[in-house]
Amino acid sequence: MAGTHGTDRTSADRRSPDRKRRQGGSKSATRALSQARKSSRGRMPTIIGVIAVVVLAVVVIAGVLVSRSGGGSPASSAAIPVVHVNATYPVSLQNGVVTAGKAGAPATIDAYEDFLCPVCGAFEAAYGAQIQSALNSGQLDVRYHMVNLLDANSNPNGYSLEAANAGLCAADAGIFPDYHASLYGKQPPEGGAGYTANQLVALGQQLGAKGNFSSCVQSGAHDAEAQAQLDHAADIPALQAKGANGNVLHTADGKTAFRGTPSILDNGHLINYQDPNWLQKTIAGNPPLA
Amino acid sequence: MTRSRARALDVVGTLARLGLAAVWLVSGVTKAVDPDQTYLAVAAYQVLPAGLVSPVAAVLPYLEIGLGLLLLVGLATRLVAVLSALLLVVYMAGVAQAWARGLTIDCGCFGGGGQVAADRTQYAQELGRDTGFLVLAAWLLVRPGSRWGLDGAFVAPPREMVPVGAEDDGEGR
Repeated sequence: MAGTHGTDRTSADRRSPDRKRRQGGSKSATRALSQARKSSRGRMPTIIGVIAVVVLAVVVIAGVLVSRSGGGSPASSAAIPVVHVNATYPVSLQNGVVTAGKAGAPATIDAYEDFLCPVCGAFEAAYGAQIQSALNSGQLDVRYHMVNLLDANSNPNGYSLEAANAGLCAADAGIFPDYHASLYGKQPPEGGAGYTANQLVALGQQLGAKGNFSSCVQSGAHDAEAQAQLDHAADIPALQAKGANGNVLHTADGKTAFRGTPSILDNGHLINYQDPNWLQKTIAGNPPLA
Repeated sequence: MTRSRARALDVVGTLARLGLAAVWLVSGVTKAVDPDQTYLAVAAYQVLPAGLVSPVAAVLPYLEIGLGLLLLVGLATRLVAVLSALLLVVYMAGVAQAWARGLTIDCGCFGGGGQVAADRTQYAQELGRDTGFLVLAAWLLVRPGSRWGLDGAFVAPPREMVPVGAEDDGEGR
C-alpha cells in the first residue's frame, strides 16, 4: 500500500507544474479545482463509511446466520440418555416436595436443587450413588425441593421451571429416582436451550411413566408448586444469602434472598457438603455444618 | 507540522489501530465460539428485557469481530473508532451499573462472564482496562491517520489533488 502511494505522489508532482502553467490565468479553472477538491473530499469519506458499514453488517449477519445453523442445540433432537439407579424405596409428592426413602430412617435431609444448576450436577455426580444406597438401605430420607432458580439462565428462558415441573410429574408417575438421575446424568449447559418439553416427556415414557405424565409435563401442572418452593426457600434462615460480614441480603423487592442451589439441610441447618464424609456423619447424627 | 513528526504520529496511530483491532478480534472470537456462555454473560448484567438478551448475545461477538477486521485493514478508521468508543462506553456503563447495584458478575469481556462469588468481582480492573481501550479509540477518533491502512490508499492528501483528470487518477489506484 505504501509503495503505491509513494509512486502516485511522485507522478503527481511531476505533472503538476505543467498543469499549473496551462491553467495559471484561468479563474474558472481555479474554481473547478476547488470544487473538485471539495466534492472528492466530501464524497470520499462518505463512500468509505458506507463501505465500512456494509462490511460490518455483512460480518454480523453472516456470523449470526452461520452460528444459528451450525451451533443450534445438539440436545434438541436427541433422546435424553437414561440412567437407572435401582431404587427400592417409596417416593411421594406433597405440595411440590418430593419425599423419598423408607419410614423410620435415622436422618432426613432437605435438598434444594435446580436441574440446570451445574454445581447441582457436580453434587449429584459426587454423592448421588452414596445417597441412593443410603435411601435403599433405609438409613436416609430425602425431601427434594426442585426449584426454578435459574430460569433466566437458559436461552430461551424457563428450562429450570420446565424441568422442575417434569421432576414433580415423574414423582406422580412413579419414576422420580431414575428421572432425577437421568436429568443430571447428561445435564444441558447453562446458557443453552435446555431440553424441550417433548424430550422431557420422551424420557418419562422410556422410564415407564404411569398415568398422564405427558399432559402433566406439557401443561406445567406443577409449575406453581415449584415456584412456591423457590419463593419460600429464603423464609428458612439457613437458606438466606449472607453478605461478606454475615448480614442477610435482600432482593430488589425487599424479600430475603435465597443463597442458591444446591443447598442441603439437616433439621434446618445448612450442611457443608464439601466435607467428603458429610453423608455418613449426617446419618450418624453429627452433620458437618456450613 | 514537520514530516518526521507526522510520521511518528502515524506510527502511534498504527499501533492504536492494530491494538484496538486485536482487542476486538480476540474478545469477539472468544465470545463467538461459546454462544451459551455469551448468553449468560449478557443476561448477568440484568439490564435488558428477557426478549432482548438472546439477540444481543447473538450479535455482539460478530459486531466486535467486524470492528476488529475494519480496524485491521484500516477502513473508515475514524468512523470505526467512533463506533468502538460507543460500544466501550456501553460496556463500561454495564459494568458500572452492575457494580453500583451490588451484582456479583464477571464482565465477560473476553469470554467467561455470568455470576461469580462476591469476592471474585473485578469491577475496578475491568473499568480500568476498558478505559485503556477507550484511549486507543479516542486517539484514532482525533487522529485516524496511520500506516498500512486502506484509508491512506483511498484518500490522497488534498494538497496534491489535481483538478483535471482527477477521475483518471482515482481509477489508477
